[in-house]
Amino acid sequence: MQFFYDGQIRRYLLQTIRAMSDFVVKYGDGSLHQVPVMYGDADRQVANILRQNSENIVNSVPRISIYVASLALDRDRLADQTFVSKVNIRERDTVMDDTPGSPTYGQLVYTQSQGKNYTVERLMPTPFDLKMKMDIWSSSTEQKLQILEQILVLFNPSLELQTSDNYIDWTSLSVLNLNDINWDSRQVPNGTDTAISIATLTLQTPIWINPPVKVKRLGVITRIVASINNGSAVSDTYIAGLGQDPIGQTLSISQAVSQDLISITGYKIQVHGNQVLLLGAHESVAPIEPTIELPVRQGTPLSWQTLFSRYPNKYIAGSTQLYLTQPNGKQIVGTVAINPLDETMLQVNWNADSLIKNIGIDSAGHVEHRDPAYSPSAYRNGQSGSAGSPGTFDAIINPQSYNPYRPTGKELEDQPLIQGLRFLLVDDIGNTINGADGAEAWEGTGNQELIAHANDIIEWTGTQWNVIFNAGQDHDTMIWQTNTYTGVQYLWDGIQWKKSFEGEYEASRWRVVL
Amino acid sequence: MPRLSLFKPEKGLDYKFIDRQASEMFQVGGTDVYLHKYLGVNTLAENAKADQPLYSTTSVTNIQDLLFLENRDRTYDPEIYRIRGMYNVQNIDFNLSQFGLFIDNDTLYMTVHINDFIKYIGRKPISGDVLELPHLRDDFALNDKDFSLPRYYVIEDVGRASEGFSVTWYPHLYRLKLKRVTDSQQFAGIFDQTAKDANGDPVADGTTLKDLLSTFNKEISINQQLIAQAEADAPKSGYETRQFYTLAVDPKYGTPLLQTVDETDIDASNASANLNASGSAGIAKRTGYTGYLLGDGFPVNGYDFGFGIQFPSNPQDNDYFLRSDFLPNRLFRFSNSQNAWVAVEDSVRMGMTNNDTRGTLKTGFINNTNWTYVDSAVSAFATLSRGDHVIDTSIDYASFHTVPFVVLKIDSVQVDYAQAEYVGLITSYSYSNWRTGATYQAIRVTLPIINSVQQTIPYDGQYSVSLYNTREEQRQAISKALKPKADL
Repeated sequence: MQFFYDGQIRRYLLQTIRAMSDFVVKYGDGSLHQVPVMYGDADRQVANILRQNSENIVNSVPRISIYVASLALDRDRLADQTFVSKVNIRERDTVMDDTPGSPTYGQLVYTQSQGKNYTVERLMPTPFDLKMKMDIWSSSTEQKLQILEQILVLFNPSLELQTSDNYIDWTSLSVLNLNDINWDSRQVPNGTDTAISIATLTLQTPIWINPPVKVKRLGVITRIVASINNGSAVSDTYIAGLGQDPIGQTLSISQAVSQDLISITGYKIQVHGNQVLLLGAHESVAPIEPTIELPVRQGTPLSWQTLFSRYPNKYIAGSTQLYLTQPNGKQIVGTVAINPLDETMLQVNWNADSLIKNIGIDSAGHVEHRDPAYSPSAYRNGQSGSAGSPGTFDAIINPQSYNPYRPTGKELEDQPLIQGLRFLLVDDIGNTINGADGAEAWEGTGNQELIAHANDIIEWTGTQWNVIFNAGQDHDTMIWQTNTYTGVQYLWDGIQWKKSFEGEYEASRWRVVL
Repeated sequence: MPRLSLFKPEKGLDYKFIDRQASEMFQVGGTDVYLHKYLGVNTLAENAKADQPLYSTTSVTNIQDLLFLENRDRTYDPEIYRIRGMYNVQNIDFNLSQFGLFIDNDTLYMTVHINDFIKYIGRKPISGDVLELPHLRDDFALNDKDFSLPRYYVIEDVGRASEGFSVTWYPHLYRLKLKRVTDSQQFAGIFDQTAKDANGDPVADGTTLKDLLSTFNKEISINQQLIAQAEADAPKSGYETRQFYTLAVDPKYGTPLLQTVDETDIDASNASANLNASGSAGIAKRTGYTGYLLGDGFPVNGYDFGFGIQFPSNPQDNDYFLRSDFLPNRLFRFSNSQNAWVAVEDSVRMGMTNNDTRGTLKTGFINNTNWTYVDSAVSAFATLSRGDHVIDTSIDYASFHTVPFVVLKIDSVQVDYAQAEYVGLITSYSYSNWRTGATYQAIRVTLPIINSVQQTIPYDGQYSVSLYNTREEQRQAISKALKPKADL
């Protein structure tokens, strides 16, 4: 066991001595004399020092002496020993006063802003019953009465005793009960020898002995803003403009939006790749639609630094996390850092594991989770690794300008096509009116013509190109696919392919964990 | 021839011969004993009661307290008498008690020569006489003073020593039962004396015998250190939360508030030079911490605040103001929406040390030096500013300048003075009535200088200046309050 000692019983004794201190007696000439109060179980060596190591020193009267009579477990106050109480504390921030001439110059002073935040866990303390004796040595009966009258009036029925003013200390408050009074240690009659006169008060206080607490970082997650695409029509699990979510069948966006999320203000964000803009409540960007370029803010630039300073010392570049809530309820997470050149910009390193899993499409065009005939082994034969995943394609190309046999355009000879090669098309290719005279680059080995449209995904079977995803027919399914060439994940929302999580996030749809 | 008898009815020559031999024996073989002669007790006239009477003379036969049969405030002759005595020196043992070290077998039995004692002291030794044994002075005590420490005893009982009876059957010796003295009320007359040097002159630094011999100073010092630590552990009742930050929350939703850094939105109490980016936080309306006795009169988060006995004019939203005329002091916040000062908290945290300023409900009845003024002679009003110390009134000087008490009051704040305590409190000046044109000598009140500090008016405003003929102590013993003052 590691050593710990907080001087808890010592503090009870100290406070008891304090409560019984500063009483005075009045001599016949009107002078007032304080009654010293000390602990009654002195070390013999210290007692000799107090006497100046001399037998000629005289003891001072009156005197009050307090000492422990007994300490016992108080079973009546025992409670659940596993109970842990948590208290959340936000400290005020401190700064070094660097104003010459200031009374606190060179010292730490509190500011009016927030400092570090903590959660303190306190384990149920153990109750004890502490009894103390308080001996009052007086040189006369009148003196004894003077002392007792001043002290006894305070017990009605008990004295409040506080060992600490620390807000965290839930056991610092106790009471001092007067259990018994022994009027005098002497007998009447006195006899041949005159002993000193000692009145004894028996004091009792219910105390607690605490183990150390646990001081942790504040366990409150600060979620800052809210929802995406408000105004979207929602019907069951079909979302207009988004399609059917094959994974989150039970979660509609309406449910997601109606979640009672904590919000600080109406701040929005605009996510573009690994960059995030902070927007005001009613701000937007132009264009609203996803673009290749960073959208332009339509309002006053807002600094991430300002937002994070709301929680001083908590933002840590590379550690603070940004959470984006997706329509299907999933969270996309990335660690953030404020762009040192532009405080309105947050650079995000997205956690790939948190990105939504791609939806597989097999070579026959069956969609994972949707089509029972979907066969995970029937796709992209010959490919390995991520390139072999049914949820990926190899590039986004314009079939009207791209020759798959000469991918860079600089090759002097045709290159062999790899079986399973997939492309996402951004334009139409082929037409039935072309007959067998379509674009040769997209013909099969048997001169099979390729007829595909923008947003379709095509796959090379080894002998010809097949459309495995027909955008013109697939309006009801949300499909995530990753471009293995760029690593960017895209979402088919029933209308268009868009980067899977980019765009504007409004109320309750994003949060920052500091 | 008469029958032989050593005993004679009268103390004859045999007695005198033997007595001289005994005296010589003490002179030759005895030790010096310094005697502090007990003179008696008496009660101060103002404290005298039937059971604690005032005697016409201070006498050793007086009894101070007739109920408890105690003589507490003993008077000792400032002159020290030297006699001779003999006793058996004995070893001592220290007994460690709850009050420190005591000498276990501290009773001495000393014999002194009867006639010598009577001759030098003028009376028989009695219980209460204090003896100092110079041969027991401790030259090597642990202190930083250049004095040796004397040993004091007090006579408890006096009797004739059995060994002091001679063949004439007459006694020649007293047997004194001696106990160690304590530094107590009974012997304050001795211990409050200035210590004397080897020549018998008082020491220059004023060191008293109490300083030299008593454990009191050390014990008080230790006691004060203990109190200081207890105060450090718990300076005031309740809990300290000023170091904590209260998050501003939306009163409607309970969610945290964030405010754009916009000068027009920032609370006046927050618009200090220390404004920083975190000023973008909303203003917390009240403390976010709950518990027993948390109110300390300070706004949350260290917001600036004013204090006084009147609210300031033109307050801004979320201005804080502490009304010091409320007991306990009350903190208010100005609310624009309500167009009113809203009470936030009372300053209920109190010091827990039993000093003269402790002001809880109970100790407020004990720590009370206020006066209750009755029988007003005259009043006037004066508009004063903070810091003023000269108050000109319209009160006629000739008619009222002998009225003993002056009271200045504004709202619940009052300052009062007695002419008898402060010379020059009331003087005159030439007053001119602007309406009638009459000019006369009026009362000018000049606030006194107390402990080198010029007393001044604490707050701006219109004060009532009242002169009173009588006053009563507000704090009175329950057995004495408002008892009859005249014949019934």
